[in-house]
Amino acid sequence: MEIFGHMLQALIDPQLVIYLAVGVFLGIYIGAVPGLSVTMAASLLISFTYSWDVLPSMAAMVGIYIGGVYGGSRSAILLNIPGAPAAVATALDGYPLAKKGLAGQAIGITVVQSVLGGLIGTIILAVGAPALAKVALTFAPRDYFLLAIMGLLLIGSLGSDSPARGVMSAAIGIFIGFIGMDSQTGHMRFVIGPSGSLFRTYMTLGVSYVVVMIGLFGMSEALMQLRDLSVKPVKQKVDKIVPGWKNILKYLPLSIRTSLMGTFIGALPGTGGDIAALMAYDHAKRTTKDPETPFGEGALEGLVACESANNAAIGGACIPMLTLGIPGDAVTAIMLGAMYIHGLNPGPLLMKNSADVFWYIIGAMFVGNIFLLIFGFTGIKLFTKIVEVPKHILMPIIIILSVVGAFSINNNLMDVYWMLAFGVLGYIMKLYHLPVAPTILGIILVDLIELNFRRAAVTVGNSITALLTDLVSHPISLVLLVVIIGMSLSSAGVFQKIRAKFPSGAQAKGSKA
Amino acid sequence: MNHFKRVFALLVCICLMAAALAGCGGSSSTTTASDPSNSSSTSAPAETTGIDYPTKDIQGSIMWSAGGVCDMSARAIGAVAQDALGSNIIFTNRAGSGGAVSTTYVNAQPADGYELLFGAENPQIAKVMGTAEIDYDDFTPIDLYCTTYAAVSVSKDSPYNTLEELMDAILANPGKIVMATTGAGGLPEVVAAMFADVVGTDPILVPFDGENECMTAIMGGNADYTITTLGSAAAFYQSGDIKLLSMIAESPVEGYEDIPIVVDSYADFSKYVPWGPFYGVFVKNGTDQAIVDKLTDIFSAAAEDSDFQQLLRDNGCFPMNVSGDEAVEYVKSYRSITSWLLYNSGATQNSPEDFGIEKP
Amino acid sequence: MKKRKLEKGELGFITVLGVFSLICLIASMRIFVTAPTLNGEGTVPLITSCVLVVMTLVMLLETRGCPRGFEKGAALGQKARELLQFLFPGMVGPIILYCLVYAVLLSILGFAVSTLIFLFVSMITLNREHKVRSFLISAITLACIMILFQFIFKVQLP
Repeated sequence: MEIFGHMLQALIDPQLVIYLAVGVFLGIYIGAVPGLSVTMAASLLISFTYSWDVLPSMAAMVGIYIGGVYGGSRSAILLNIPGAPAAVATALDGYPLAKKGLAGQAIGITVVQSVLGGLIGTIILAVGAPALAKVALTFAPRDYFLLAIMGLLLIGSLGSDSPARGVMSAAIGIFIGFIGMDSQTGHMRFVIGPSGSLFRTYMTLGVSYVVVMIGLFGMSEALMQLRDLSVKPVKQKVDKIVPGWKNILKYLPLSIRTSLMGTFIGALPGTGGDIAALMAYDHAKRTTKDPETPFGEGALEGLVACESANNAAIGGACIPMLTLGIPGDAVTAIMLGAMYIHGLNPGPLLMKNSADVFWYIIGAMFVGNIFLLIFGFTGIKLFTKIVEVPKHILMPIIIILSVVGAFSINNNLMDVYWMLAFGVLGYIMKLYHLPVAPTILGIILVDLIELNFRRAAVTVGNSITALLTDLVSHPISLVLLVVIIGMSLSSAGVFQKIRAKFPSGAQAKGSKA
Repeated sequence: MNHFKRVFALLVCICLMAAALAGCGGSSSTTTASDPSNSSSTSAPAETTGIDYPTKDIQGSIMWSAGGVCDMSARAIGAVAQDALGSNIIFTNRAGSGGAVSTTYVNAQPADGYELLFGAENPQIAKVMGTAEIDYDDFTPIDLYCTTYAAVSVSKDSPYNTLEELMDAILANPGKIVMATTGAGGLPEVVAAMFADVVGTDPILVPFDGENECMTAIMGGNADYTITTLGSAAAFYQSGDIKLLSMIAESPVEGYEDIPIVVDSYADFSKYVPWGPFYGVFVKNGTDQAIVDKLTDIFSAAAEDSDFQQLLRDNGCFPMNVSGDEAVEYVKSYRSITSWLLYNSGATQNSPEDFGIEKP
Repeated sequence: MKKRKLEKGELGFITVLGVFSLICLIASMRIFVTAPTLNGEGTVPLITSCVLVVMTLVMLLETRGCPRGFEKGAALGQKARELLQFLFPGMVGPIILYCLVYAVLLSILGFAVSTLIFLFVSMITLNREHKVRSFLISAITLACIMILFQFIFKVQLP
């Protein structure tokens, strides 16, 4: 009963409700501006909130977090610039929808799905946090490695007429991720340039993947658009923004599945919403038999999957943060900092010693999602107008926003130069039918793959046979391995071939895959 | 005219957002003002200096990942200091490469006092460990505010109940026992080198991102033991998730008197203790002396803040407050002691002499 | 891959990728030999660059039998001209050029002035009419960005 009391506080204390609501509202619009990220907003907010009480500052943080993760989808849909890495997958199908004049509908769906995902994530956080945290703890480096490999299989879904080109593109992304100081040994890798120069220092620190993302998506798309100025912007339909019950029910099984995935991936301390969204997208593409529109050209399933997953990952990321004091992603890391400042002891004892804060945060996440449902529908008509702005005005503005976005990561002009270079690179890649999305996938996954591979290898004394034995002798690893093999077989079309041969027996297999 | 309307809509939209945000920014600052709790401890020393600093937000780079001692202590002292500074400190965790990521980053920024480095002891062994060419020679210490001890910990389900049992197991099973570390140049590897010298143990060292990740690794059964700062282990020790086998100290540690100390187990360890990490705030060399003085005043006052000190004690850390020339001396002598120790124990082949590091 | 007509310069692009892959391979090799173990810092880069090399070869093989982008026997000069036409048709070339100039100007003139110039020049390049309106739009956009980033979020601008 006491628990409900603490949770209810999120709903009845007017001051807290206002902080939360303002947080969600701001989060949405901060997330929607390319160049302003949730992490940035949260780290700004934390310095405001030092002198506040614990609960109001938590309310504002949770609000910004929920709103911001959703907000990133808006610029992804409208401008093809993902507001945050978690919205990369949203851009894949959202932007094609905007090109068709369906931006309003796309945004409407992302609101509802974000809320659904957020609620499911919160429920799991409320019910199963300690248990799930225990499972997440047992994830060994080898399991993270396998998870990353699973993410890589997504290349097959990222659309290209030739798998080789997808793999090529992903490998380029992975390689970009190697550049700089190796985080385990401190040695330089692939760093060029005269010693002591700014260029070299920049490479030493590694290329930020946000720079690559803004360049390859936003900037290169702007250049592509300029190839043909005669194409008039599409008039956006804004009459059917709020998706009907039928629409929601139709995708409900998918959104529940992807929300569960999102929560779990978010709960792993080493992975966050970006990977959750990409894997959910992959899952949607594999399980949707006959999408109305092919994936990559505006499939609603794609939007449903990644938006529900990345908001569900919020609940997930809070699990290790609240039960163990280990952040699940960058924003929870900042929330953790805020708790220290307020004299709480985030960690295994939080649930016992500060139960009020623990349950309030969960309550705030419920209420925050309700605010998201309300505020998420604001400004859609105005925002979709952006797409209708004529190209000769919009494209230069997009370029400027990309520049500001790249600069604001570290206040470094070098980031801007690299972003422009990646913009031109992405433009050329697109011209020659080399898809750019796998490059982003590669650069997002590179640390997960490499560092964990090396950890897994050194744990078993650097022997390949021992590593392979390790992979099959631990239950979690084995399950992941089986899933990976199943996924690769299904992308290779083996199941379709079997189904064609044995039409009756294939049903069961098909539903499993 | 139609186009114009749309552009207008876009701009109105941006402006509206701007206005909304501005409104909110205002409201939050009024809340700050109306809250009386923040003006208690630190305000006195800052007023005297006549320089125009700070005029904007200050960036703080934290050397290690979120959740560890470095992160916790930096954010806590930053919260106290920013009231006196009258300007926000915006923190970013820049973990990696034994601290070299953050030192390289701050060193690449202008020396204008708007980039603070919240670091630990690690850069002082970077040269001999070969992880970086930059150490605190390139920075001016503002204040060293926190210290703690290293501690050996294992999961609560671990079969080892004493340090000797663990060390004997490592000796008996070469290439089997896994120790979680924070990578080359991190504290765990340094202490592991001490153990290699004294006991002759050679565990498998698996590098994780930070000390908190080391804790998760032992709790999840992905490593057999770890040696981290007491600060990172304290919360998990209090909750009963881990066992502390030994303190790397020469006498029992206040508040942890029941934990055995390493010299009782291995008397030869006395040549290495007392030894422990330190945490401090630094600016790049070449920063205006007036700014350095102002920051020093503010941070040494903040380090005396009772809430801050209590927070450190609650988390297994111990307040200290060393600034000015004394701090320069402190980090120098730390470097010479630890570098030579590592060299003499064979943990590194790079002689400190090559880097101009004098013998202690 | 479906057999389609290759784009102009596609083979050249693949060749450039091939050269890039080889450079990566050599660089990774050099790192790998310093720590030739499974957990060494050169191992995964080595594997990745092998993948790069192999994929370049596969891409080359896939283009076999596809109609070429350029007509056979075309003069080198004409090929170059057609390639430029394909890569930077219409206003793409000038805009990329402006971006480069803008990048340089940023460090000299600061954000406000160079952004205003960039926006205005590129807008009138793309649409020669309405010079005054373009200028107004540039100015308003700049003002909005400055207000939003610099004054509210205190994000530094170049």
